[in-house]
Amino acid sequence: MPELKERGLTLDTVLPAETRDALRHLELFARKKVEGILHGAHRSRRKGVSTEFDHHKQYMPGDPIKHVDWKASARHERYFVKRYIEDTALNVRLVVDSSASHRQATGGVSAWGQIARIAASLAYLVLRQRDSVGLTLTNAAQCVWTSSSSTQTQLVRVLQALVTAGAKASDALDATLRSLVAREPRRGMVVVLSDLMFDPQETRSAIRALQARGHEVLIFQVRDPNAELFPFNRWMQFDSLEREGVRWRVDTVPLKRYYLEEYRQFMEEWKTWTRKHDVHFVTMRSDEPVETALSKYLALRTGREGKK
Amino acid sequence: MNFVYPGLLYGLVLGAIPIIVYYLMRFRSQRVAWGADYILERALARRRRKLYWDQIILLALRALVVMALVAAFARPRSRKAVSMATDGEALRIVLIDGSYSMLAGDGARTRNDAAREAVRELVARWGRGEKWSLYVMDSRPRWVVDHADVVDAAHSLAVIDALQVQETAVSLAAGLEAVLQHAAGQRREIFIFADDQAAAWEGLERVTPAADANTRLFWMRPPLADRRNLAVTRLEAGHERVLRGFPFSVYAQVRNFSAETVRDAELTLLVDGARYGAERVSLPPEQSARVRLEVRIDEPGSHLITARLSGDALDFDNAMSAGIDVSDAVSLLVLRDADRSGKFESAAGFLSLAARVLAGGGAREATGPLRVREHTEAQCDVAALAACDAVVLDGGRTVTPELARALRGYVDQGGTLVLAADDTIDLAAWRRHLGKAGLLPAVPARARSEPLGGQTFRRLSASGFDLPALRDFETGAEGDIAQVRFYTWLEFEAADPEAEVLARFTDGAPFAWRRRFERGAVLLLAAGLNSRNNNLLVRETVYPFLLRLFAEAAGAGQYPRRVGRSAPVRYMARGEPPPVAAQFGLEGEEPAPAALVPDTPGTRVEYRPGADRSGPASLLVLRENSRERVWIGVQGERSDSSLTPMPDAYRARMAERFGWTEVGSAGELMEALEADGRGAERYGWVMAAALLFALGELLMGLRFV
Repeated sequence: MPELKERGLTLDTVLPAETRDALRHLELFARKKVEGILHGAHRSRRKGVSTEFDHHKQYMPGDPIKHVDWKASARHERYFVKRYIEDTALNVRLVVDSSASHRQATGGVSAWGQIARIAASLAYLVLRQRDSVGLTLTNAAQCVWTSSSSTQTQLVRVLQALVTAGAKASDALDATLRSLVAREPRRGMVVVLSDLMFDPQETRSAIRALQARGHEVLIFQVRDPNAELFPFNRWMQFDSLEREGVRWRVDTVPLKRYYLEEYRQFMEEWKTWTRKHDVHFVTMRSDEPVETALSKYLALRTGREGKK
Repeated sequence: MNFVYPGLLYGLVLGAIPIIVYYLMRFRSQRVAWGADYILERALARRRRKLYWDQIILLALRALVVMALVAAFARPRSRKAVSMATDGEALRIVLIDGSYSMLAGDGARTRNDAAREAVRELVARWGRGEKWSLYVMDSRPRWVVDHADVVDAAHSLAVIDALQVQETAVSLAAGLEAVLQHAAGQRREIFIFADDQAAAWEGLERVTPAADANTRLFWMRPPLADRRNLAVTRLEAGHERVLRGFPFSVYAQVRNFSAETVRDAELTLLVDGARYGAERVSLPPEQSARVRLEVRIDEPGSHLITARLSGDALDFDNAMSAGIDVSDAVSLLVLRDADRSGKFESAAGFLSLAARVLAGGGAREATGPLRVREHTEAQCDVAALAACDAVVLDGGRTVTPELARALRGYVDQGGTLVLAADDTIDLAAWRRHLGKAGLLPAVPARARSEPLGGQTFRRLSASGFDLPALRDFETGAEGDIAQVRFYTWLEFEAADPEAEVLARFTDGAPFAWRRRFERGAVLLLAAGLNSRNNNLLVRETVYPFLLRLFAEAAGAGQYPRRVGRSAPVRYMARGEPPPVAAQFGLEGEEPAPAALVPDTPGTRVEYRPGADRSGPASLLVLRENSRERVWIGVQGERSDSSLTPMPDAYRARMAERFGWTEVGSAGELMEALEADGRGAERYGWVMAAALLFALGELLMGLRFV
């Protein structure tokens, strides 16, 4: 396995001050109704105490008398109870793919570093709006779970987990997502961060299962420029990062065209699939500034929600 | 397809360069850590077969580009170029030198071999229906093929293969003139297959070159590195009649035909095919030498002697053969009148004594080299005389017109008459009868007789013999022969112009005259052999001289065993039973039947056409119960042995004058034809192919961009 020029991640580099400044005015709201333990800014699936009227419901014995809408009851000569949308705190689970493929670096910037920065930024964003965030680092060798919390110390835990973890072994994202279905019974937001360089079938079905459980799934894909552009024009030996001893020695000149076709098709498949299944798919290059990409996405997300 | 520079074709291995580069790049591939395995594997899995074939085709195209470029630089030419050179409409004229100098060569390969190979290669390329002519320069220059259609290559080759090199000199200048006049004005390709012999090309400057531009002239001149050539030009025995057990000389004439001195060439003499002796010969250019070799043969009969020179550029003229008849003895018949019975009243007494001495004693006389009989009958017919080798007539026999006629008949049938003028001679009768019969080589003026033992006498000269057979007795003025004194002798007033003096007295006066006739001969001795007026009886050392003299004289009646080319071959078969058949055979050729002509004193075996080339030959004479082989040497003229080439400057001038293209081999001829041909070269095609391959490679490459 070749030595990678990966810049060392520290707490400062994974979430620098300028990123924090840039993200200060951004908010991440759940697009769907979620189930939080704490009162928060997000709409809850449960009807409860809130200022936002939802709908009327015919009075049934046991309903609180204080919620009876007397005016409406008088008009229809039946008792109606007012139902309000309950605001609750959002639980965001960051599922970070830490397989070895993320160690691929171009220009000294690895996909893993980018993923760590995105995860850190999202954690910062979520905790800033007093929601809870949890982190799952997953690969075939190990799976690190950091429980969800909305405390300020949670950010430190997340950052530390990101900094100390390394990209290794092969993918196990599908298994992790499947286990998440059981481990996260309450509806929340699952953010998948990965390069997605694996067979997507299992992962997609796991995502579908999460969606079925009411989770909003968000996919952040990090693209390595070399993997995307395939800028080779000679014989190359590709040493697999995920599988020890696996290598391909190929003439990249005739291969390039076919590779790029495959890459484009692969990306298209993901975009189509996510569009079809209402999964936000955010893709960014590993050398792209995180705050810019996130700002764009959150602005876009807010805009869409606004229109709705 | 052939190439102007075939050596460049080794460059085809450069076609391996793209493959080598391919593997070099493969093994020098750059390593990169790769995370997008999934995409890479998908691309590879789906396009593996296509990629494989792309690589193969790409490599093949690259190799083909290189190879086509190499082939283009080697300047390819189509095999059809010869036909296309003049669009296949030209008349092909082939001139072949059929003289034996074409047999010169280096080692086993002769110029003729090289020329024939080139002709074969040339003819093999001609197409059916094309016109061609073949002019052969040999002993009978002629058009063998005249404006004929090519039926097929095999047929044309068969015509050419049937031609044989002949033992003759040719004038190639005349041959060139003949072909240049042939079909003048037509589109012609003239191919000359000849050597560069200066003598053969003599007079070339007088030949008018072809004036039209439609004539293309090619001279295939096979190279010759070593031009040293000695030749045996003549081989003969010094004796006309060889006696068994007596040494005789063989003379071989050797000539240096080259332009440089040849040193220490070995001349070997073979007798009946076995090496007998050898001499070393050194000769300056254009000089001849007569080499003498001493031989003694103990077996009577016909023998073959061959002189052979050690190898040089032209082996054909290095050997020459001659046949030799070795006789058991010389038989003399002495004519004597019956009433002259005194011991020394005829030559018989002395000759019998000499025969005994030469035989080594009276008991051996019957087997000695000289056999003497007497004929005392008045009647003397030719048949009776023909049984001996020579008839001796001296003063002991009365000469009559009948005797003279009989003797003339005997001589005309090949007999040898020895006229020994002793003191009893009837000079008037000799002059009248023998002179009338034409049997006197010289007309005796008078017979001079001095007292025996007196101071006036004549002695034989022991020097200045013209006859080679007698030269062995040249011992100086005081030799044994010179000790013989004659007190009676003839003086002559006039000689037959065809007569020759074989021996003289010391004062220069002739002692022995010889006059050859068509078949027989007459030997006239100016002094007698009856021992009455000379000291022959006490000078035994002179007996071998006389024996040799008689043998030479008796040899006149033999048909020669050394004949020229195409000369009739004859042999007189004597004895009983007569021959029933005969064959003539030249070494290496099928024997041919010879004619049997009844004659006197036997049957004449005759092969009139003779041999068409030099070499050992034989007549095989078959009788009812026996067979006899007579060896004959056919000796042709060495007229084409000179290997001196045309001077370079002269050749260059002539090349310019005639516009011929000189080539040295079949390959060069083909190249010259193609170089001179129109549309023969395929350079453009191969370059186009190279460009096509390069374009293909480019397009293949573009697919990947």
